[in-house]
Amino acid sequence: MTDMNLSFRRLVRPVLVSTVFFMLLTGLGYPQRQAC
Amino acid sequence: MLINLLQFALLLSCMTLLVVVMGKWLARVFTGTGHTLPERWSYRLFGVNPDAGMGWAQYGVTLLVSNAAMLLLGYLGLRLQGVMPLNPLGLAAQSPDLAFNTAVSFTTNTNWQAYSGETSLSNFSQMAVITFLMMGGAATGVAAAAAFIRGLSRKNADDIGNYWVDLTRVLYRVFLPLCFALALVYVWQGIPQTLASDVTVTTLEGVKQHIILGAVASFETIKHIGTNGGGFFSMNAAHPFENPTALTNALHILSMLLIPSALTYAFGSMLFRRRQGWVFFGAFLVMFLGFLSIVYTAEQTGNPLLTSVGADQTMSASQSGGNMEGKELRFGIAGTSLFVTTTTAATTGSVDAMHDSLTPMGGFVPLAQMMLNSVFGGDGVGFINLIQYAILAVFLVGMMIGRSPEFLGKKIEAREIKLVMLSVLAHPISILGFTALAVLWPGVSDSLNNPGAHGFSEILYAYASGTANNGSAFAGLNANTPFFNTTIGLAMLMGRYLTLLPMLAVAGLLASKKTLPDSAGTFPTATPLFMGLTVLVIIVVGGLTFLPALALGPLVEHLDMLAGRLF
Repeated sequence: MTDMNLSFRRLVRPVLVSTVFFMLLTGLGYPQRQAC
Repeated sequence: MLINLLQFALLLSCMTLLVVVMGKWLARVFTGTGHTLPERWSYRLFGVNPDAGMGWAQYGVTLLVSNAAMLLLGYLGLRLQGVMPLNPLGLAAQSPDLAFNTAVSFTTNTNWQAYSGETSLSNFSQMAVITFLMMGGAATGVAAAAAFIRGLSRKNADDIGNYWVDLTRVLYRVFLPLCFALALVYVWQGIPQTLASDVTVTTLEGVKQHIILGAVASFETIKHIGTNGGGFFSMNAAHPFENPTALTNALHILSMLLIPSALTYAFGSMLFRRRQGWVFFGAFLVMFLGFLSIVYTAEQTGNPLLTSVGADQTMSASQSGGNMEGKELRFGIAGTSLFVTTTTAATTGSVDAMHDSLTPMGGFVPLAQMMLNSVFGGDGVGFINLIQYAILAVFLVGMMIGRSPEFLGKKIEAREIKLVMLSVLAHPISILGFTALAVLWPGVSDSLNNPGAHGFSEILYAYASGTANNGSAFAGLNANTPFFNTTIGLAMLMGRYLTLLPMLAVAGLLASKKTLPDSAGTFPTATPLFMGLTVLVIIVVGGLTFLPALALGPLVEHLDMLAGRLF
């Protein structure tokens, strides 16, 4: 259980959060700012 | 002629100047110990400790899983396009095999497109899927190069850096600022940047014409700086909205070469071996100039069969001469030749002319460069590929003179060479294996527009482009079939990760070794001799591997053309 928590904390959460965050930032935010 | 040569000299001089500026900047990004405020916020949001180092295996797994998540999000975005916003034209979702191919393509920095952007992707997909994956895929490559160089520079170390720090810094400090500034220049040059999907105009003939628009300028910047290459429009950089002027053509070329060339300087700075960095830059440049001269000569000479029927193909004040089929008049032979050489050297895949219309020897160059995959190469991975051949060169020299091979003060042993060979062999196995499979697969010939040697080149080009993560298309091949979508998708994955991961392992192994001081018996690698040896190894290994396949494609097509036969 500890290992699973560790792997979630160290890998799964960063992967999921960063992927969605970078999609919003570089995919939507950056082109939209440039278009305005 | 002279003006064309001056054009080459001017652009390559600009690139060399930018090598120093960008190389210094990249070295600072890779080695800086402080974190900016947005970076600290991001690390807190992601839940990562930016000061924790990662071994090569942890770095590689994190990179792989992070890329898998990008791929999955991209795939879902394309499959759900019909219900997503910014889709006033009501474009339907891509089919499963096409969405897989597209998501893999943009995650692996390939940007092979089996679809036509203006008729199948909404503005939401172009931004949230394509632009995002172009940023993420390219940043992954540069992050891997940062870790790789760090591994070479360290001694007795367990880690090669932190993937999250590298990825975030490359995005925040390199890609976003560069793209933001360059997009303004592109807008000034006439590239559209709007959230509107289309505009309807009345032409001079009185016909209503539907013109597709979108966030093209922001798309174009990362497309070239990230050595991505996928077009907003089907015609890619031959479309006037993607590449309206000679200046944008030149900026596209410089953007493609910017990071792959600057990594040599960043490497030299980080290892305190500037001369070594210039030797690697020289190796890149020598190969690039050789290939540029072949494609320029072939295209400027044109097709001898046209000369024999009275067509004037000589260059004059009133015409550019040579083979202008498939080329834009505003770029001419020189601008196109430089673009063709750059886009396949830097494995970008953007095209400002139709490669299918190049002369056989002109078409040989993009194929050969993608097969070698070490002439500047894509962002990050191109430099890593060059080092793999440099290690191979050191090993071969060591065998010839009977000494233990050393590279940058580290002993090269069996484990490193096995990993290097795994990386070297994955590339031809994918290209030649999938090409052989496609040639034998029932129904594949229906996808070809040309018979004979040219048709074979079209298939070979597709898998070379996919495996090299280039993405340019030879055209003449209908690749939007379940067979091509699946196999080219697999080729892109093999080309990306089966070459990248073994080399990260090499970096990790070298980082853990002690550094030996140079002695009288050390083979010096920061010399023109070693530059020549590295180029020789690349050409010989590439030639022995791919010459039989090239002989069946562009080489026999060239001989056929001289004999009066065309396809």
